[in-house]
Amino acid sequence: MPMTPRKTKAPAQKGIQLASFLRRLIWLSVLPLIVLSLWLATDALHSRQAQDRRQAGIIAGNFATDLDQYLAARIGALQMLANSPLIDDQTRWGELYREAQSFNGFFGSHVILAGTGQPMRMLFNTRRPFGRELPPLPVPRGRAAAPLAAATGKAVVGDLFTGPVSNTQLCSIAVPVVREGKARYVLLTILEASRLQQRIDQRLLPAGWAITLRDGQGHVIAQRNSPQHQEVRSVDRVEVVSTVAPWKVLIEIPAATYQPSLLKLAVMLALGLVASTLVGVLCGSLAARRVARGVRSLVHREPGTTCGIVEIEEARELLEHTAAARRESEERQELFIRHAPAALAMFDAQMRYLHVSQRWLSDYGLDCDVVGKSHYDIFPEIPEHWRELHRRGLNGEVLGSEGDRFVRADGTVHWIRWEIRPWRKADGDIGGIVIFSEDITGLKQAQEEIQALNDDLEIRVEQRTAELKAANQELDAFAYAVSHDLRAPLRAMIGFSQALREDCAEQLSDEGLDYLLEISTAGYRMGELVDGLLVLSRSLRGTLERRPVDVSGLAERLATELERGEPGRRVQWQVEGGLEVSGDERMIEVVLTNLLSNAWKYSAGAEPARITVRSDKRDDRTFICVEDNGAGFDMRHASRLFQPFQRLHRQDEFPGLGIGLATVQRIINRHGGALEAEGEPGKGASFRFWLPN
Amino acid sequence: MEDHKTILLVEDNPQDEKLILRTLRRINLANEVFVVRDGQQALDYLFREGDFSMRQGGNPTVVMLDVNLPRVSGIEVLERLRQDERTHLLPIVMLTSSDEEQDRMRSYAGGANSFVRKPLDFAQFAETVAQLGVYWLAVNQAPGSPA
Repeated sequence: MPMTPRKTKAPAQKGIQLASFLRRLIWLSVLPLIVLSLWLATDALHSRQAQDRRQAGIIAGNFATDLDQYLAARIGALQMLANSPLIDDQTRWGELYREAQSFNGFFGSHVILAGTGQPMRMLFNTRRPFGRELPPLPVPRGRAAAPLAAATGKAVVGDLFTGPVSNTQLCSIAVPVVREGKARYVLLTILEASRLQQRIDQRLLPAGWAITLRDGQGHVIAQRNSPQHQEVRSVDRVEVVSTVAPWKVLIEIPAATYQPSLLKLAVMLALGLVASTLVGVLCGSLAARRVARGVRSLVHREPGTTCGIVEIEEARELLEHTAAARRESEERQELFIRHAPAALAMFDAQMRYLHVSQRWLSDYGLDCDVVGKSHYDIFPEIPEHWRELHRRGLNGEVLGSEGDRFVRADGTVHWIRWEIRPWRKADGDIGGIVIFSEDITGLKQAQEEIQALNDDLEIRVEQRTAELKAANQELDAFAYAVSHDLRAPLRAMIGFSQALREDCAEQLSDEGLDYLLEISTAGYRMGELVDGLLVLSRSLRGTLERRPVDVSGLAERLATELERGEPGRRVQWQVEGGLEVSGDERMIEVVLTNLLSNAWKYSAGAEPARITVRSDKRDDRTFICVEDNGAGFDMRHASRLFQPFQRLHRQDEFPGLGIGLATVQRIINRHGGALEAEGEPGKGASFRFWLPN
Repeated sequence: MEDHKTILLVEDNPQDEKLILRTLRRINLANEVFVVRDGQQALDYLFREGDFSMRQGGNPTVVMLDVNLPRVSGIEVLERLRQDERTHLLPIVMLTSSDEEQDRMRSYAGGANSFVRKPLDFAQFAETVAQLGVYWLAVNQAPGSPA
């Protein structure tokens, strides 16, 4: 079994640790939060700016409207004066002057009536008493209202100028007095910039914002919170142009106004981010540590440590279950190998013992402590061809032998059956080999003995067969000679005694003739004996050809032949149908002929004579049984029944040679069958035979 | 064609020869019998060789050939006669004391015209010989003989 030692070192180069992986994960998840916060901050700032810009527009617009109304009211009042008929009558200019003074009272500004000539001459000035000599109308640089009004015939608001007397910043509003399409005079009022400054100052303005009123030439008429003083670049400006005057209202929002809120927002966001990051990292670290601890405890099998995470606990349970199952499997395997009734050893790729069976230890005379040691260190004398086999096994070959002969150091010859088989690790690489070996010396010796015995037996069988063959051949030759050479003299004896009786009958006495008859009779008897011997010897000759023989049909035929041979006799035949044996047909016919003719012969005295051919089951064997109710025989002499020329009846009772049953016995023996006889004098005889299939 | 019909008897047993001749004498056929006593003599006689190289006359009408003969056996004589065109149609009766199946088979396989077992019984033997003599000399039409 492959057992890599479990090292407790930190996992090297296999990846990052779980805790740092989780930390990175937390940082990565905080990163979008930071981006989101920045975007939110930017968006808040932008919306704030947009709102401020809208508010600035409203403030500027309001102020411009207010300014326009302010100027329009004065222009309107001057227009009313201009339209007054009092102007056309110089004599009534005093009245006009008073009216103008009421304007002054109303608007807080003087009204000047000036002529349109060059230079323009002041006709009256409500600042001065009526009728007082007045200097020509001073015309400031830039866009001067009076000349412009005189030239255009329309009301004009002029640019800022410095008053020659008061040395203050002033603006003038001029309304032409148009008679018959032509400007005759110009009504003029002066507006002090300080009044406009007052109006600006009265406006509600968010802190830090600047509002500026500039004339057509860009000079500042009135101003509040000049951005220049704050030394910060303005981030936003809103300009509204007056509809009455060529003036502009400008509202500037300096970037500085956003700084505190921006800072506040940034600080808050930063704090929030830091806090959430810290909390995330902290919780993540805690979780990571816990998970890592759980996983570590899984890996290192630290007992008793639980992390309370269901999945890990399940995994631990599974691992412990698997480990227990593996331990059990290993123990079983160890037990299996250790007590296997065969020499088994498992090696790693360096041929160090991993597992070994006790049979291996005892077969190779080793102590129990070989695990971990190298096979080659234990057996340095291992021949190179075995090392080569080990190498081939380690290269993936399965090798084996059903019987290898080798000579031990002490000279004893041993036979072993062996097999080398590689085993593979989980990754499919060959981890080592398993060697199985079995000392089959005893088996081999037994096999050799059996082989020797078999060889000897075969030789003996051959010898016996040859001897038997020779004996058979001799018997054949003998029988052949007998049949030819014994009969010829007999024939001569019989023939010449007959010839003598025929040719010399007159010369012989009756006694002599009788003697000649006895010679003939003896000759015939001798002939029959010779024939009987031949039948007996022939029954053992020739090859035995087994095939199914229809015993019933054969018996019927023989019965018919017997009846035909002795027509005067009446015998009750009972032949069972369907009887069959497996044997040599010619020989079976000899057997049945003998048994039936015996039965026929010996039942001659019975009345009625009965011959039965039937099957008879005994000891799981089906015998063919030939029975008669004739003379029978004495069982005490049964052993002589089957010997040649032995007879249990006298010739004058029942003639015969005593060769028939001997022949039957030999044929049955040749078939490997069994022949039995039963009889009782006067009651009949029963012969049964059985042939193997 | 020959002037008269003859029998060649090949018999080594003088007693059988005597008995056969006695029987043939009784039916007046003895004069037509020529006896040789072994297989070689039989072949010499029929092929006019050796002692019989100067023999006159043709082939016998029938050959009565004992199976069991000295020097050349009856079966071998039969086979040699059948192989020679001078005698391959010659009627041959095999005579034997035995009733060996193998003799019978070899005789017929060798081309014998008859196979006769010499019976032990004298009367039967005489009758058989007489029948053979009469049959082959008087009844049977040999190939080439006038119809």
